[in-house]
Amino acid sequence: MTANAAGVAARAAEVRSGRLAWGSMAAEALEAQGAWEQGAAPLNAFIALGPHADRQRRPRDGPLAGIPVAVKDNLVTGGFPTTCGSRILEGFRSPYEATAVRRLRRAGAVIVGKTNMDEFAMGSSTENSAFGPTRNPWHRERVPGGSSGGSAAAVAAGIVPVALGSDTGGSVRQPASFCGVVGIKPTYGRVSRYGLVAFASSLDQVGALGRTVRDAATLLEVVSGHDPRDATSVNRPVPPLAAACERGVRGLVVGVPREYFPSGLDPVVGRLAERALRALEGAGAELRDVSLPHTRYAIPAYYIIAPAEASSNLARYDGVRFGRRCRDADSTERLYELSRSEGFGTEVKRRILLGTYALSAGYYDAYYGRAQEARAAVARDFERTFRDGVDVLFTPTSPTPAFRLGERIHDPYRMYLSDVFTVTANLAGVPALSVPIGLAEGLPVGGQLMAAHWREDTLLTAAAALEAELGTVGSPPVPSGAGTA
Amino acid sequence: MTVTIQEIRRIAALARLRLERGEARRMARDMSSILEHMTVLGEIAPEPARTSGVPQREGSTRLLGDASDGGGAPAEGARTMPDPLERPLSRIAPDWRDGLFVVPRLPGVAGTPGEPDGSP
Repeated sequence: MTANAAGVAARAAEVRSGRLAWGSMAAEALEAQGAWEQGAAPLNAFIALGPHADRQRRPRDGPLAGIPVAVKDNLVTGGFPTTCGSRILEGFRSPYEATAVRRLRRAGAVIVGKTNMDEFAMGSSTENSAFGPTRNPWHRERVPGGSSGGSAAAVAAGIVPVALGSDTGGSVRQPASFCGVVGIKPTYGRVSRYGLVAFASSLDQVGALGRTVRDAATLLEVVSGHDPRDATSVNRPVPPLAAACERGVRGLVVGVPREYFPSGLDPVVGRLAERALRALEGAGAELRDVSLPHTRYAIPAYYIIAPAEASSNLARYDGVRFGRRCRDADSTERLYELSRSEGFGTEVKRRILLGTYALSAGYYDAYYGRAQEARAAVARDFERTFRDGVDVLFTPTSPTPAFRLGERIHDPYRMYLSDVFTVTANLAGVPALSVPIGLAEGLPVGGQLMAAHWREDTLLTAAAALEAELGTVGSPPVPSGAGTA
Repeated sequence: MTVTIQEIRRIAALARLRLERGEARRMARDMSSILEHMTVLGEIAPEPARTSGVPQREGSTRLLGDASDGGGAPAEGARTMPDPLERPLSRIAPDWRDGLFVVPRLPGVAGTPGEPDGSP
């Protein structure tokens, strides 16, 4: 067992006391990363690796003292390029740093690298990256999920104990589920989006991934809190999230929404979800059947609203202000067109076109207007359910375990359905979490918990109880020469 | 719902994207297929509703008179957060010098070494 193996709170305490050298865990992380890149099927979890820990002059105290952390490549980070997995931002270095990353450093963390992702966070498999796909450490011919697939794979592989991701429609929770780690998307407004490259601004949130519920809670606690640089950041106290993992679930009301257990659900996923529900009941929670009737509108609404916002947010990449620039243009208009066409990948172009179409004259009311109505209806479903006394909702995170590389990449709508259980939390702005609930033929399966706005503590309480009752799913086979975690 | 190649070209021009012939055909096929699944949104009954998942009463972005949360001024005693735009611009700006915003240098324009070259 190496230094990365224990919980981050315990290891940070060892660093603070001087029993563990500050840069030792980061050195192990880089060594492990190198081992996972050996052979015919490299993990490819990182786009950029950081300067050695000893060259990062940062505080050596704090709740993450000496803890190696990986950061998704859509959070601008000092000393690293930020590409969003796109050719259009290849080599781009930001003159400022994201608030979430700044808070990590202030807490003593060592940033070891920027993780691979679907281009501009548009995807559910991390196959849409200009830097090649990331592989699932549990099965190298499977996807790690997306779009935070690099972060989830890095944590699952034991390279780092915790990582930051972003979640616009499930991009932290779905890869956490596929890779057998914990992933939490907080309430919209809980974590600053300052320095998070915008995809769909009304849905984007920075999220935390960890090997255990407590580790994810510790990371989330560090990055949470009001930031005047983000107008959507909310000024309210952050409750002690790591401590919430110690509460029991006795008396907690767990809602089981029937719309999330359709007949087409993978039978093994269904059985594991049922087992998790019995575990919660056994630990003292009360199970209650509930209905969220507008769930069926969530995917269509999401795939109108998110592309519409993306078409606006990505208009800034024109080859003039920053990013890749076409060298052969003979006019300004052509410079814009060629720079964007060469720089963006297929899925990004598809979503820009979809969003532009939905916002264009003649289609706005039929698509964008209706999608916003659907979003409000989904949010009302959640409000009513929590008002009626449900503390948390439990669902599978994804309808299937990790699928094969290439299996869905040419069928966009089938790929979009990977998010069918996760987009609702983004539409409603509520916090949601994925926690491992078992293995299906050697592949991890996640269970999703959702709670009312600002109740991340309740989510973590329920998730910690599940973890205690079911145990962890363990670790994927470690390549020779890699450290373990 | 069928999206034609001509429509795709019109939308691509609006989005400042240039599509090759094969790419335009593929996009038209994909968009038609995706939009087919969106027709279900027609079942949603229109009603006055808020359009964001953001908790309206607690954010700093709440607008007075917003119809989505009842409208009007906040109730007496209600806790309201200061509007970020009420603060001096110098406290909001990522970079501010001598009463001016510092912005990325334009290509070809000489600048001081160490100035930022822009950000997304």
